[in-house]
Amino acid sequence: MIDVFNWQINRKMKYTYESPAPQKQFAAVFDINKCIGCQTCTITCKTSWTTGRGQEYMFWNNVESKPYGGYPLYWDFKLLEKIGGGKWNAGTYEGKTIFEKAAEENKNVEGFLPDLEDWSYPNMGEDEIYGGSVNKGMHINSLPHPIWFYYLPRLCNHCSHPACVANCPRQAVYKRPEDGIVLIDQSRCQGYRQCVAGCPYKKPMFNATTYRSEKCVACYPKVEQGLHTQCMEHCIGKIRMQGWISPPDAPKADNPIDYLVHVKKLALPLYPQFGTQPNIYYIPPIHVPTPYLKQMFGPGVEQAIKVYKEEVHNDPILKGLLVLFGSAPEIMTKFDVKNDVALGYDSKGTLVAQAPITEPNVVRESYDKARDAYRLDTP
Amino acid sequence: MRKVLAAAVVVTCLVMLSALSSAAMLEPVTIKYVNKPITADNADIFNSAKAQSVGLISVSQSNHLGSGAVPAGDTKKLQTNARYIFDLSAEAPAMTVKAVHNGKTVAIQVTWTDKTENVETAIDSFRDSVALMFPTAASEFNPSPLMGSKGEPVNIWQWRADWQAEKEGRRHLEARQPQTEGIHVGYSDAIMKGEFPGKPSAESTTLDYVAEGYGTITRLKEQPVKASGHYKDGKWTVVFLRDINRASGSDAELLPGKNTFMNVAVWNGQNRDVNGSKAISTVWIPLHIEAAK
Repeated sequence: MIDVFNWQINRKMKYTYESPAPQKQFAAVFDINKCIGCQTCTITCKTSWTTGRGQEYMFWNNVESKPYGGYPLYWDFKLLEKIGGGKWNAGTYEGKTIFEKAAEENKNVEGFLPDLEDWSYPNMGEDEIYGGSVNKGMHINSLPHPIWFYYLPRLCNHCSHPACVANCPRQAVYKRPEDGIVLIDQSRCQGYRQCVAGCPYKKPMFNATTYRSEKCVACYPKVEQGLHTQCMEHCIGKIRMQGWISPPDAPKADNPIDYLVHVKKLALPLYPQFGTQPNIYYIPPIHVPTPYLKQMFGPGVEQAIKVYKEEVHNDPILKGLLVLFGSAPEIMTKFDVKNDVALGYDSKGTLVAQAPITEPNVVRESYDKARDAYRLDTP
Repeated sequence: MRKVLAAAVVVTCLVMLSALSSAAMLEPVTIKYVNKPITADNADIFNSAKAQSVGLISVSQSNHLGSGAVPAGDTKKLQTNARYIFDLSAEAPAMTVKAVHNGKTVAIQVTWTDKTENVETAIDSFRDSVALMFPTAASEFNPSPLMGSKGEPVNIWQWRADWQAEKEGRRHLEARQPQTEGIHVGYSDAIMKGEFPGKPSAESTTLDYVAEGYGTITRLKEQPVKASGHYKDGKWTVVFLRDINRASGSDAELLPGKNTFMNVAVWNGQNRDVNGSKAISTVWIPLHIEAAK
C-alpha cells in the first residue's frame, strides 16, 4: 500500500498503487436540481453499448430515485455499513476509506459482490417519497422540503484512485494516462469479478456470455474526438457539463468544471468517504434536508446549497455557466460570459456554443391595434 | 466463525514453498503406454493405469467474493499481509489421477470428490473446475509452482463445468441473469464476441493457457487440449486429451520415456471458488511418461 493524497477527504490515504495524475482527468458536473428522471441518458447508453447477449441487465448509466432506489439494490447502504461510517472534521474525513477498512482484514478493497436479485430491479423505489405522506390541500413553501425524493444519475466515476483497478488480481483494469478513463482490457480479463466486488459504485458488471467483466467506457471514441459522451450529449434536462478537472491547487477559472468544483465549490463528489476520489460531481438538490445529503456528498453540502440559492442569481459568470450546460455536442474546455451571453469553447479555442442567460422574449398585447382584433393568449 | 489452523501456511512464504516443491518424497504419476486408440468416450483405456491419489490443500483468499472468507481475526493472528492462505482446516477434495498414452495421444483422467455439482457462471454463481499445470519444457528442474515465473513458463489446462453443461444443452441464460427474454440483441453483440469470444469455440469445455507467474495467465492461440467431464455420486471425473506432440512451445512437453512434473487445482463453485480461491496440490508431482513399445 502506498500513501496517496485524496483532496476530497483532505488527507493522505493508503492505496494499492502509485496513482500519478493523468495528463487530463475525465470529469463532469451534474445539476441534480434539473434532473427530471427521464432516463434518456440510460437509454442512449444502453442502445450505444449494451445491446448484446449477457448485457441485457446492464445499465452503465442509470438514474435511481433516492433515498429508496439503487441499482444494484442498496449498493451504497451496504458499503456504508461495512466501512462503519465516520466523522468529518472541518473538511477532513476521519473515518475509514474502503482501502483502509480492507487493510485491517488483509484485503485490497472493502466491498461485496451483489446478488443476482440485486441487479433485477433497476427502477425500484422510483419517485417514492421520504418524510411521510402527502395530504390533500398540503402546500410546501419552504426549503428544505419535509417530504422529498430526488433523482441520482450515475455512471462510472473514472476515479482517481479506482477500487476496480486496486482489486483486479491481474491488472486487467487500467486507468488511461492520457485522459484518466478507466477501462477493462477484455483480452486480459479472466472474469474473476473482483472489480465488481471492489467498485463502491458497482459500475463494473459481469457478462455471463463472454465470462468477462465490462464497464462504462466514457464513450472514449467520442471523447478522443473532443465530443461529449452519449449520456452527456443526449441529456434532455441539460443537467450535465463534461470536461477536464484540474488538481485542486491549480484550478483554471475559465474551465467550467474547475469553476464549479474548485472555485465556487458548488459541485461535490459522490460518497467521497469511500476514498476513490470519484470524478463525477453533483450540484446537490436544494430541497433535500442536509443530513442525508452530507452522507452522500460530504461536508461541502451546506456551502454548495448556499451558493446555489443565494449567489447564482447575483453572479452573471456562474449563472452563465449553468445556462451553458448541454449547449453543444463538443466538450467545452473553456467558457466566458459576455453581455449576459455564455460562450463555450472547445479545446482548440473554437466557439462551439452561445447561450443567452435570459432568452429574448416579447410580450404581445392581447389587443392588436393594426388589425383591430383581440388575441386570446394562453398564459 | 471458522478457525484457520495455527499451522496455516502463507502461500507467499517462498522459503516454505521451495522446500515443499523439492517433491522428492512424492511417488511419480506414470503416464502408461497402451496400444489402443485413445478417444474421449473410450473408458477402457484407463483399465491398465494405476489410480494415484493426489493430496490437495485448500487455499482461501482474504478478499474472497463469498461468505467463506478467511475471518479477519484469524488473518490478524497470522500476522501477515497474505491475500492467499493455505487453510488446513478446510476440507479439501480427495483426488485420484490415471494417465495413459499410445504414442500419439495423451489422456489424463482426474477424479475428485465434490458434494455439489455447480455448472453456472453468472452474476453471483460460480462453476466447478479443474486445472492441470505442467512446465512447458520437460526437464529435471521444475519452475515455480506459483504459476511459473519470468522465463520459466508453465502450461495450464483448465476444464470448466459450465462449458461442459452448455455443450450438453443443460444451461440457459435466462436462469442465470435478469431481464433476458424478449430483449432485442443488437449488432454490437456479434462484433464484441467476434473480437473477444467467451469460449475458443462453441464446443469448447477447456482452455489452454501459458503463464509466467501470478496475473500473467494468457490464452494460447492454438487450443489443442480437449476435455470431457461428468458428475456422478458426489464425484467429478474429467478426462483431458492432447496430442503427444505439442502445438506450440507454450504447450507442455510430454516426451515418451522422459519425466516432467504436474500440479493440480480444483475449484468448488459452491464455495464461490474462482481465481486463487481453490484447492491445490501445492507441490510438483513427478510425472513419468512410459516409453512407447
